[in-house]
Amino acid sequence: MAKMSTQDILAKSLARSGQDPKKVHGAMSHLVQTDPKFRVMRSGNTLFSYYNKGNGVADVAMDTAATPQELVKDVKEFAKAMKVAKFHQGRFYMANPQIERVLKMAGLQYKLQPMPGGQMSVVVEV
Amino acid sequence: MSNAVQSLGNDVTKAVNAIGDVGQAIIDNPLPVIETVALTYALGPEGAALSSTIGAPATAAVSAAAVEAANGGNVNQIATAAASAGVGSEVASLVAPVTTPIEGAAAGSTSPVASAAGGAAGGATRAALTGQDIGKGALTGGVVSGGAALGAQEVSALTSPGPMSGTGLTVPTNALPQVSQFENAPTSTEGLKLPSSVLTGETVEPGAPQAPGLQYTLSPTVFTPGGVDYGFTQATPTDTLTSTPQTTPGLSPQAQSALQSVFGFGLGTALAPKSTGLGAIGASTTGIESSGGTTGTTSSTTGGSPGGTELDPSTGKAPELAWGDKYSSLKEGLNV
Repeated sequence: MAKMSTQDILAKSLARSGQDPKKVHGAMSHLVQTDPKFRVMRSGNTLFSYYNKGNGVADVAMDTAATPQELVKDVKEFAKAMKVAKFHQGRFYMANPQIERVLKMAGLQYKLQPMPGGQMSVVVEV
Repeated sequence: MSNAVQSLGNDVTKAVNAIGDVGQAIIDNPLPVIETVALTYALGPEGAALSSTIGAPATAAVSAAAVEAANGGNVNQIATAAASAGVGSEVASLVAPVTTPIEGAAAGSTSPVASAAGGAAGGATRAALTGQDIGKGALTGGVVSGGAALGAQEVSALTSPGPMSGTGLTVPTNALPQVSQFENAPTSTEGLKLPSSVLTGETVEPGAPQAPGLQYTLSPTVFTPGGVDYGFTQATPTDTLTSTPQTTPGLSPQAQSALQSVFGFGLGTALAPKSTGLGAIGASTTGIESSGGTTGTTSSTTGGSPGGTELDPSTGKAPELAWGDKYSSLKEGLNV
């Protein structure tokens, strides 16, 4: 897949959410420039937004326009980059259980914890 | 993994709401992102290729700037580091965002940082510089397979190893008992032996666990004596075989010895029934000498061979057959 612009990635990712991708894009840009703890990392056509919680821990979110095969590679690359950046743990909520499969295929070590509402709390060690 | 608005809700949502007040210029701002390849260039074949082109110090500088940016530093410094290291703009565009003015941006606003890697997917300049597509794998994410935004919703189409039926979560491997947890299970049969208290009727107290792993804990059980005897004592036989010889009431050994000295020949010969006559009435053929005086001269009316050829001493004729060929036994002859 050709490399997409960040706006296109968000547009694809948020297509079903009903959110305005332009506003989200602007908000993320604003946060990156104003909050040093908020950063966006890109791997392929996937955007990984994260908050640096300190001590090598980050809360992570993901917006992707990648194919499943590409997503596995993107996640793996992101985990590698976070490790280089001295992070050792990523935390996020998982609404789609298929994400676990991605984590597994990416060869990541993770722990799951059920949360109210059917979500899963995921802790990934990188 | 949820998207930024869902997962990092509060801050992003606030920012989204605030965007409306900021204006279209902010909305159009390029999103300053950190390319993961800027961090991972130092690793793997891409890093080696880049180092061979721009030198290891330049690669290290870019990577260090990316690490700094990832931890809260200015994302611009990635581009600055690349420029300071003398990296050509073509290569720098792969790993570092570039600063370009944005049309419509408010005067005096922070210079936006753009990820220029998006425009370098073609890789023509890279190929020209390095002779190979050094960042193709990391930048383009592999072979293009359609333009649809599949994302996580279609991850189930992955041809991955391992079954994943349904849509539920699979059991994580760390939730399953590991083999090592069973390695400490007792392997001897010591715990399965029948306690001696079972035989004695004592109350068996539950024992303390002996080892982690599989445990067989017996609840207190009282075994009362009686019923089936599980004793291992040797049973005394009720019937005893004795080897005491039975003496013949007729002739004692001394008498037999005396008779033998008188006759000077075997008692068997002297006391033996004569060869004539007795056979007809079925005299016993058991001699004294052979049994040591067990039966002696007992005779029987049974036996004998009917129709024998021996002569009757009283008549000098062959004995008349009592039942001859007709009957084979007295019982049969008497019709009893």
